[in-house]
Amino acid sequence: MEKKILFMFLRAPFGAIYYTEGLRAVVGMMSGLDEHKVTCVYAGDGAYYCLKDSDKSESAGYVKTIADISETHYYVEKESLDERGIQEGDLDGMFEVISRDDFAKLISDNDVVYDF
Amino acid sequence: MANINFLLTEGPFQTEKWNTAAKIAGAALKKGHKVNFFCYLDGIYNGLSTQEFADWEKVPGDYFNELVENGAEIVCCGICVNARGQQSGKFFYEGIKVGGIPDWAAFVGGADRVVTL
Amino acid sequence: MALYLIGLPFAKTGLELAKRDSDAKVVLIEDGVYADGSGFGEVYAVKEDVEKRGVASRVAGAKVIDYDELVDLIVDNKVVNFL
Repeated sequence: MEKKILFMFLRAPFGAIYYTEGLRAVVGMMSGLDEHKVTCVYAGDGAYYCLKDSDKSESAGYVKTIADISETHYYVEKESLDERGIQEGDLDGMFEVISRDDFAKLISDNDVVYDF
Repeated sequence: MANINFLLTEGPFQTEKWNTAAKIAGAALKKGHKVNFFCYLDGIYNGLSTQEFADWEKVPGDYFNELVENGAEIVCCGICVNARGQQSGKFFYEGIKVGGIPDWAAFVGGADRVVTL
Repeated sequence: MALYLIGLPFAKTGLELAKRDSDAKVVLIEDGVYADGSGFGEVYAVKEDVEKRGVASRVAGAKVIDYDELVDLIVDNKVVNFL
């Protein structure tokens, strides 16, 4: 059965491999027979991945494959940016800034919520 | 009866994720729920039959073997298995399978609940 | 109803989000029993984790549950994972 799945990226890149293995998992979730619908959100220390100058070479292939399968949103939580002194101008253009209230709404709108 | 899928991404010994996973899954099986695991990243080490640690009467692998004996289905990410030198899971307990993310996606499709550890 | 499984290091983020969910039930689990789960209608803490850490008095506002009770909560609620 098709599910709506939220992937939350909460760990700081690049000390652990979750930032890219999570995206590999997203590809797999979208490609299976059930064709799950995935949304990605970056929060907490995961927000550092959204910096435009962070190295995305390991994950670029997954991001491209995801885009080929279906339009997918990559959100980043505004409060996490503020807490870390990150300005919107510091972000890569693929990320859309949302409020914590909107993040909470994403959690309630999705069937499954993963923490990566 | 519910169908509960566990995603386990951490290995044995280093953190207590394996213990929490085994305890919740064991309790769920006793209550008659269906349990399956997808072991991803270092999570694949939990199913090794070759673990040895003299300080403990039972090692983590024993607990996962018991889960399988009690009806749990456990599938490990094949890419993760080979990346970690585990040669298609040749040292895994019998019944702990090597598969891929499509297996995980299918587990999620059929799951009533998903727990990550 | 949603069941927020709260551990470290994601407790802060998880609890902030749970606060925005009027139906939230919170479970403090593993090192999550060190977190402040006050202010929620329903807060639980996993017995084995509480006892090992000697924090029963610190989680006084939470109902201490065993794994059987945790399974019942998991089955009865959507699970939101923050651990």
